[in-house]
Amino acid sequence: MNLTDKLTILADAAKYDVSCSSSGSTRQGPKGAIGSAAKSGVCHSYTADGRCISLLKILMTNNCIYDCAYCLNRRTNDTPRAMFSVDEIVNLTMDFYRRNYIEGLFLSSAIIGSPDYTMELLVQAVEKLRREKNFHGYIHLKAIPGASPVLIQRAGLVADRLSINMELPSEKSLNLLAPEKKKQNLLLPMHQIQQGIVQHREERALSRKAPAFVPAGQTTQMIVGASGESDLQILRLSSALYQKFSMKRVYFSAYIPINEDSRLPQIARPPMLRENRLYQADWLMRFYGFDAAELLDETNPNFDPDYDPKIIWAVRHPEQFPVEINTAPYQQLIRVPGLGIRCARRIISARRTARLDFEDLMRMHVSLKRAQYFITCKGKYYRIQNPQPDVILRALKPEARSPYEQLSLFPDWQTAAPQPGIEVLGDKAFFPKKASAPASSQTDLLPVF
Amino acid sequence: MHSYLYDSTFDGLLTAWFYAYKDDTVYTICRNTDYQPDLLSQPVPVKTQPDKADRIRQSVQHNLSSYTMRNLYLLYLSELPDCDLLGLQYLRLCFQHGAGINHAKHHPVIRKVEDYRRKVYIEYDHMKGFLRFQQIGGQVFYARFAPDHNQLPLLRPHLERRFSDQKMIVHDEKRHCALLYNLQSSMIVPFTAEDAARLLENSRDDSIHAFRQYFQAINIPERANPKQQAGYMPHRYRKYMPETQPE
Ligand code: SF4
Repeated sequence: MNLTDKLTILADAAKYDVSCSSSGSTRQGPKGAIGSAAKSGVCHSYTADGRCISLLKILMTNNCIYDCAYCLNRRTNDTPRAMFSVDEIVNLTMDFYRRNYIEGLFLSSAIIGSPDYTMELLVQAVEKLRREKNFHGYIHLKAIPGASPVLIQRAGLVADRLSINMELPSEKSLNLLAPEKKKQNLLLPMHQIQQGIVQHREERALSRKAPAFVPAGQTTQMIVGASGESDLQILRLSSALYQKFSMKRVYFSAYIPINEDSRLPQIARPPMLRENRLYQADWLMRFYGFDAAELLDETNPNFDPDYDPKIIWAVRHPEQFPVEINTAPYQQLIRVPGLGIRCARRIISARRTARLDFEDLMRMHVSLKRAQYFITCKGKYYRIQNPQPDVILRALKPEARSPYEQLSLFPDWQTAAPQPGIEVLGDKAFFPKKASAPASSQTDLLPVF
Repeated sequence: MHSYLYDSTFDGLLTAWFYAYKDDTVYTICRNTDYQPDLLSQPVPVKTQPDKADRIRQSVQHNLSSYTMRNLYLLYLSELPDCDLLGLQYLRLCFQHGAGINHAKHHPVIRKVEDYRRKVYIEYDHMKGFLRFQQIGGQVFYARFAPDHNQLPLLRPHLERRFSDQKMIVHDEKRHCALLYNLQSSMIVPFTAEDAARLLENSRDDSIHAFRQYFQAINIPERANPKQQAGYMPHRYRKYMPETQPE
């Protein structure tokens, strides 16, 4: 089998991993070395499904000793198998990087031989890139569940980001669909990585020469729609993951029916709308200061397919509105449906120089479509007086959706996430502070799970 | 009415601003290559004077802010309609009210400056990713592109940092110039299509084949969304992105 055939198989098998982000790390080699990484990440291309290609995302092999129900690579599937050698991975990465095709490498693997055997090879490839090739680009490495702590430690010293997939949103589903992956095998390495990050950060505060450990932090991913959990359960788990393990990011991936299996639900299309709502909620929690409990509760455990979570929150909380544009603090402005972080910053900046009216807002490219029901300028609404929730919801009801649910992974107001370098004035001060949770004891790693 | 003409350099534009600042009969400011005579104005050719340009630089840095200076430079790089005249209006506005006027995001001039600034930076972020090198023998890599705005001066530090161990030629086909990097230092020089043709003679880079395969394999057909793809990766850039082109 030639290299391109292998690449086709092993990229195809890696494509269901959602993350392709190259953000969170700043790296710079000395002159004469190759590679750099920027805090905000770079997209190098976009596939026909609209996703960003930032990293060379491949599996080392798709040969697996496990048999997870939802997975293309499971032992019992009859699918072409391939495996890259360490050198092939290294050379392919260098060739692509030098041509500016990619920002770096995202290396994962099915489990071949044993978790330790697999992890050892993955770590070797990354070590070779860093030490022999003097490569300073971005590297995201998947940690194999069940691999020994020594290997995780070695991986953390050379990778920018490590991730272990949560796979499913509850222990019950995990036991049902991925019985060979034990909950502890997922959570223990997450815990180890978090501890390592904290420890190395302390060491680096004392000495700049101390090595960095997973500088871009850890992430995880879970499949949505392959098992019966509600959105509320998923959101609770993800906020626990953010808090307990200081995750940089929890990714959701809409379940794509690939295998025939009686344990799996029968669906025609991946639940992309649901995935999208979860991302919106995730965004609200990370950048807009929302709490999971504000978005969903036992009486409303799932998101409304017709409206984004911010609108639903707003119409359920009439006591919070209207928000006066000229006086409301930043934290209140960003809770207004239709106002994103960028808009809020513009408003705060502009009102230092003048009292704003709706015309000023429009001149600043603030869209009033949704916001008009929730804001006043100089005490006055734009058109409607005291809009009632039912009026708002009727006005904002989406058009009938096409059956194909073509959704942007990041709708407009999401792409307005803090982007370093674009808006300069006073940026830093407006960033919401992220609370870091204290480390937990090992026995009680994730009680909600 | 006066139309100020400058020689396409930033120093030239700064000199033009220097002379036009106190002139209340400015009709337009443009590059002499773009100038089209009209009935309303007389052309005023400006000879580039580095000392005058420096006086503007110093004054802006000193009395206003480096943010303002950066905006003026980005307006120059944007090459958008009326960017030179907008720069003059912006300069006057800032000197009138102080650098704090930059906060007035609702002011028409400030708004337009911000819009232009954003356009340049958005394309810059795109180009950092979309630029494609091909190997032309040894450790020499060639890339060509035709950005809407003048991106080479912005890309230069990024490329030098990232690819510090490979020789590079980055060719802007629209502006007929190229960034040359020889492992020590870099410069931007005039560069024609013929220069490029000579360079590319007999060169062949097979890596693109592998990247094309990768580009196909990593797509998830069940999630097809060409509209989103086009939003993020506008069609006009794809000519230079071989993975999007058929073999
Ligand atoms: S261990 Fe990973 S690759 Fe193997 S079957 Fe399970 S999900 Fe698939």
